[in-house]
Amino acid sequence: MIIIAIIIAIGAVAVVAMTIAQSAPYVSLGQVSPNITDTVARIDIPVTIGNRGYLAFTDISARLSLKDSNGTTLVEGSGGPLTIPAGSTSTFVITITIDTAQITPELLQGLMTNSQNLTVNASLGGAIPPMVSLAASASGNFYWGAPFKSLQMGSPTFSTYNSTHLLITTPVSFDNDSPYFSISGPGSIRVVDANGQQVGSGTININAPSNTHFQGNLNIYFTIPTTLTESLLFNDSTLNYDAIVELPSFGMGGFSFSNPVSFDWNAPLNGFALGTPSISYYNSTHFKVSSLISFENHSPFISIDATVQATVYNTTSGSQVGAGSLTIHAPSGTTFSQNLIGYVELPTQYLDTLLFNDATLNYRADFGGTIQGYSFSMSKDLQVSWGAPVKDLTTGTLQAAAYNATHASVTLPFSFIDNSAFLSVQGTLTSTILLTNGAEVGTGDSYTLNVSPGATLSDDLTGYIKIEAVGQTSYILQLNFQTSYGSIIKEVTLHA
Amino acid sequence: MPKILDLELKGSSLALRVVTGIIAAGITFFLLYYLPANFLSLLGQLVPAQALPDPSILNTLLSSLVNPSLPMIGLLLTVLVFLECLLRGSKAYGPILIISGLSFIAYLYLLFHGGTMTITLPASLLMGISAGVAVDLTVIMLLFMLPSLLTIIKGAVLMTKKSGP
Repeated sequence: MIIIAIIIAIGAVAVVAMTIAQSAPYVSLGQVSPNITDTVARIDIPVTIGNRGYLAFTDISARLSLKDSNGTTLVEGSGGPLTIPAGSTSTFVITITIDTAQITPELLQGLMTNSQNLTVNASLGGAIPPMVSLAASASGNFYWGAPFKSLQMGSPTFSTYNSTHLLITTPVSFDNDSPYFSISGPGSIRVVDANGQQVGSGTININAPSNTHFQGNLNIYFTIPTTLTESLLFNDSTLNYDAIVELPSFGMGGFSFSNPVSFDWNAPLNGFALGTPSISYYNSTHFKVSSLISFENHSPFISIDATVQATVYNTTSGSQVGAGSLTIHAPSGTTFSQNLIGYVELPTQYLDTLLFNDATLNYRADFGGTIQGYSFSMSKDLQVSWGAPVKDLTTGTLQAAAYNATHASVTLPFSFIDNSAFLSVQGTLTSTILLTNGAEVGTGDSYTLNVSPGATLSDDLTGYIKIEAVGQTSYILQLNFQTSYGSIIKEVTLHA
Repeated sequence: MPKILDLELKGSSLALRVVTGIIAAGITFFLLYYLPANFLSLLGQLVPAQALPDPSILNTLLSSLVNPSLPMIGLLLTVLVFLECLLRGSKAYGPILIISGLSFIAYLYLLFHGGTMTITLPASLLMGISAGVAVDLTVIMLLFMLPSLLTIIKGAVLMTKKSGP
């Protein structure tokens, strides 16, 4: 009996051992099928177990939960209970549930950059009745070493890469605090503006084995707008963008996060100012406009060596009335100050008014040029004070005296001031005397005009009038100013 | 003829019993004393060092698996097995069988941790997570105790016969 009992005991152990040993080769992992519904990702892991032994497997179950230091559930999983009779095959499905609503980008970023203790609870059970039952459990704090601990992006340095791009080099450092994962591979960065338009991109090669410190440079090639806007051209400013950084991870795809980034933009034409224009005579058709242009080139990487073209338009009519140019040489960090000289047509079509009246002439000056391949343009309003060349024209009393049988000689005092800053009144002045009904009754002698800007002319016009017209109380005097820049007739009423 | 207790034996028979006893006791000594007492050092000789966890972790694991009293009971069983071989047929044989059966039951009880073997894995083994495995082997333990129980019964029956008229 003792021998039989020993045989039974050994036989029981052998049956259990054979059940486990014979079934072990028939344990296989099936196709893992992820299923994402709304915010919940379910991953079914089928484990097929072929029970080739003599005893049944019962109550096979598994349970797992992983929580972060704030108690947020990161991963949950469970499967079973399952019974597999002897000689049959069943599939044990372990369902891992990840609620992505819980795992926000901030949480993911936190896991990647902050080392912390994760709480693990796991259990595994099963039995081969009546011989063996097994219950395993694990719980505790699992130290999660962040693979990107103390991730820092340093102050960027700027340099010119080519005519269209700036190279922004940003130092990147972190500690791979993970004892399990190495970080290796290329990382990338995309810089987008407020409209989501990509304005820059760059790469970085990372090789950070477990528990090592990484330090490298992230090179961002920043596209400068081909047409610099006025704000970029003239004003120092802070450019705000979103940097979308994707760093290599450990077989789980890249770890990406976005971070606002700011670049200090130093304008190449900072403080651009167009001084009050001074005008001077140029020729019979144009006057010369000179205006002081000044600015400071704050840009550390744009050296200005360009020709600025200026085109002047009449604000009212919109037609081009002048042009000018200026060669600018302003290396980085220098102050520029020089006169822009342009030539503007005399407003001859309005001379009948402008010869006798002061006015303000309104122009628009359009500036344009190319600086290191970057084209720019800007507009400035230009106001020119026009002083009338024949201002305050006054006439005295017409004096008549006997001359011959048909005509009497006349004398007429007149005066005006040349109020123009640059135009002299040179030419001839002829006159015609009319009755109020328009009948011509006399002519004036030709008078030579030579009045400098700012000078006053006060003299007598002489001429002849028909005898029969003498004695009228009033006459109309037509004055014909013939100058190099035009011929203008002015009518004046005379009282005898 | 040599006489042991109430048993008269030929010299050759005695010698055979002593030799058998020594062999049986030697096997018992090796299995029930030497192995549990030197499990760690034997494991170190059989398995490459790099395949084993940290020695301190291994010590903790084995101390939870092997009860410290096991080698002592194994030593007692070694003596009892030798005496069983030597004194078979004598009036001391029955009590020896009872004692050795009880000792073996005690040995099995401690070996199987009362039927449920609980192994606590040190936190340092699993990335700081403490884990435990409980294996219920009560039925197997009882099956292994059955021969010892029958040995006790046999001893009791022999003792009754020897003490009879």
